Amino acid sequence: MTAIPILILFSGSLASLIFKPRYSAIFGCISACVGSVAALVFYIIKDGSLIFSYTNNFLEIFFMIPIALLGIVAAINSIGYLKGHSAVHVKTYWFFFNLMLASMFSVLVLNAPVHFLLAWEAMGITSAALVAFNFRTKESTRATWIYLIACHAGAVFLILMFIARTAVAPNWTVIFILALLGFGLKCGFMGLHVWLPEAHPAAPSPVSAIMSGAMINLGFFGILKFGINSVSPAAAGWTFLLLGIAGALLGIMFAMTQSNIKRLLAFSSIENMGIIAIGMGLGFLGLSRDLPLIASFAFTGAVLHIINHALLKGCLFLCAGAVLKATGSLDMDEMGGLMKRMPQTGTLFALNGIGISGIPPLNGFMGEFFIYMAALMGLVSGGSIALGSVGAAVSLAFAGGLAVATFSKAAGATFLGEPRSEIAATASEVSPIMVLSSASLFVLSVCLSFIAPLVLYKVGAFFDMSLFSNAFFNIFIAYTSFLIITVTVLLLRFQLLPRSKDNIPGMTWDCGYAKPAARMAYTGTAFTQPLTNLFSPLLQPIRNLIKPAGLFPGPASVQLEVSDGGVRFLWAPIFDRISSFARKIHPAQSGRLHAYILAMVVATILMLAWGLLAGQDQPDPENDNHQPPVIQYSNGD
Amino acid sequence: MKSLTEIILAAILLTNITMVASSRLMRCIKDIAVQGILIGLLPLAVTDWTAGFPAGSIILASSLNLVVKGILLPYLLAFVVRRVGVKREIEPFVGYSASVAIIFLLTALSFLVTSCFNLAEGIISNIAVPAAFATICTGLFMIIARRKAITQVIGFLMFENGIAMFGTSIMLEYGLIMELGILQDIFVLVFIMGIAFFHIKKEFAHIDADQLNKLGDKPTEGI
Repeated sequence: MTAIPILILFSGSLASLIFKPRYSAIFGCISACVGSVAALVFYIIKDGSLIFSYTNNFLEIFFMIPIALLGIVAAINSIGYLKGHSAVHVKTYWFFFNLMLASMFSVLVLNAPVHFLLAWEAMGITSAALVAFNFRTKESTRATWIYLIACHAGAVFLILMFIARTAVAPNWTVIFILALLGFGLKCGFMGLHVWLPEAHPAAPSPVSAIMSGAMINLGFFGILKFGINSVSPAAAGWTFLLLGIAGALLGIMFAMTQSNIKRLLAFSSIENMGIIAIGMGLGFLGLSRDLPLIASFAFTGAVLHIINHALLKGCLFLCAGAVLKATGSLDMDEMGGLMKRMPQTGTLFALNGIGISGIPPLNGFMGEFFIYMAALMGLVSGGSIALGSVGAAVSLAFAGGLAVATFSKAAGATFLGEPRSEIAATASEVSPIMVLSSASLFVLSVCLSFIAPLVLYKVGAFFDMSLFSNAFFNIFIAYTSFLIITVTVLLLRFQLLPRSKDNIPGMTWDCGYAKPAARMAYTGTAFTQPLTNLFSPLLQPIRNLIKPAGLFPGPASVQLEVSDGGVRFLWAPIFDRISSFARKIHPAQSGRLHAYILAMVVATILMLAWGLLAGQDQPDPENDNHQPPVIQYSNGD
Repeated sequence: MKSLTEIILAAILLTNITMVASSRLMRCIKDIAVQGILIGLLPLAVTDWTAGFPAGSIILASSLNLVVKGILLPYLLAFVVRRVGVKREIEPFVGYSASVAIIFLLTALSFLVTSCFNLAEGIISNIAVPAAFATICTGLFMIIARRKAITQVIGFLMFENGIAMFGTSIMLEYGLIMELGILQDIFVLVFIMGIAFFHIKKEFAHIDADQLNKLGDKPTEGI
């Protein structure tokens, strides 16, 4: 049964490769949708118990949901997105799209280490092929390389981790660190995140949506399934908490300063992964101190935020795709005024931005609210957990504030004001299929906020139920009434403030200027410049300032750019060292066949000599009492 | 039959030296044919004929060796040499007298090294394993020290002969089956190289392996 969705996706990928482009899109889309639905049906409803009931494979089922939902929506959105692309692009897109979904489902359902690694690698390679969608551009090639290197580096750590697990007396600390490195490369912990801001802008937007919403979550899945049972809850909790705080704060700071809309969203994903890690960290801390209330609230927050982030960020990426489709650019400083030209996309983007910034009443708030609750409860329980809770609460609040700034910048610079370029002025709304598919994600996320208390109830069932038998019900009531009040107020506002008949349409931001132009308006960079200055010790912005000089000054300009700190201060120096070392030993690669053979012969002889010398004083290996390696893996819980 | 075995082994060592010492390709090919025949005869010489007719697998391996290494491959190589029109090895990396000296050294070294091996049981002769090692080393030496691709193929064949000798001399249980597998590889390889030489010769007017690096991604300065 578990193979059926994967088989559907496989056959769909082959069919989309065989048939003509027009049919290949149909086959590809249908198989992606049917496969995802089948996954939902077979993996979730199969157990006879609906979502979030505790079964053996709770983790798998839980991480399945964002993949399947985003898979369906992104597949439908892709039809609109791919219009106007060449046949080669369309065919390869659907081929790899289906394969990527299949490999993601396989990652979830395969347990044995080798199978898991194969599926994991397949996931990386197929998504890299999709990142290389615009393979003729330089940026796309660069992004694909960075992504592939990140994927393979992660796989190296994972292989080492699985080998370490087979040892007779496994060193669990090493295994946990390897799992953190290997899976952390996928879920973008701070420092390991460098591929996210490169790969997401290069990938087609529906693929970015899936990668950001569903794929990077799988890093958490891997850590929880293979890494977490190896260390004490306290150690895991502190690790997650610190990683999460770093990711949330730095992620959103860098997001704030980006001018490429998809880069901004990618950095925001790093922030959200940080928030999820904070939730899990608090949860494990609660477990270690035997405080089930804190643990269940924190885990509920993390669980909810994973789903929320998947839906909201998926929708945001689809909106960014619509903007790209309409204008052909991702640079927010070139846009502006798109709200008048593409009102539906603009509204969706703004609403989702509110949601992901954690502003009530949307469901992005619910996840963070539960984590706040856990932090506050940790605060009063004293001890070291109070310290962690303070850190978590402060950094959550801080990140939330910056997220508001980030998304008001993103929405404002893109959709408000006057168009700053020709491409923005001539843009028009994208096809209804793209708008509707992204809107469906938003509707889903709003619906989801109603079942948030149910999630708390179910997660709490892992722990001691009697502690909050009524908590979930109270939260549900409070949340529903809050939502009703908000909606009522909004409706009242529209009713009570009647639209005057004599509205005079004028220019946007006509602040008393005689002839306002788009150049007078704030750009996105200008909007966040004060905040960028505030955090410049952390962000290290690069400023190009040409001051006006002389009596009749010529043109003056100022440019502010913040490049990824992880690349600039961590990885670029490391790779520079490696390449300078490689340049030193480069002459050894003479290109002479004979020299190569000689080198191989010398190496063989040396190995032979080593074997002979080492073999003399070693006991016969057959006499050693080597036990066969025991492969341990758990069905995560 | 022990003396016969040792005579064959000694003859193989001698062919090693004559091959390294000669610059003419035809001479080398004839020598490798002789060596192939000797390798083919080795299992027959080792067999205890007083105990009855040897097993079918031994007969099969030895006759296949005789046919492929003694006749077929040398014939193929000679055919290629005639067609390509290359007669001599010109300007080898290591001169002929120096080569012979090195081969003597390598042979001595093989005796020294193999004395460390613990292969007492089932060994056919005291000099069998060192001779096999010397042949392997000589083959590798020819690959490294000679320029012409044909000589390198011959070196490779010699290398394989050494492996076959090793297999025969320690009476591996599955040695014959393995040997047959390797033989098939060698045959295909020489066949393909023969065809490739034609085309390389047609394109480049030479078959000097050390100039083939122009085809590869030879590193340029300053990368």
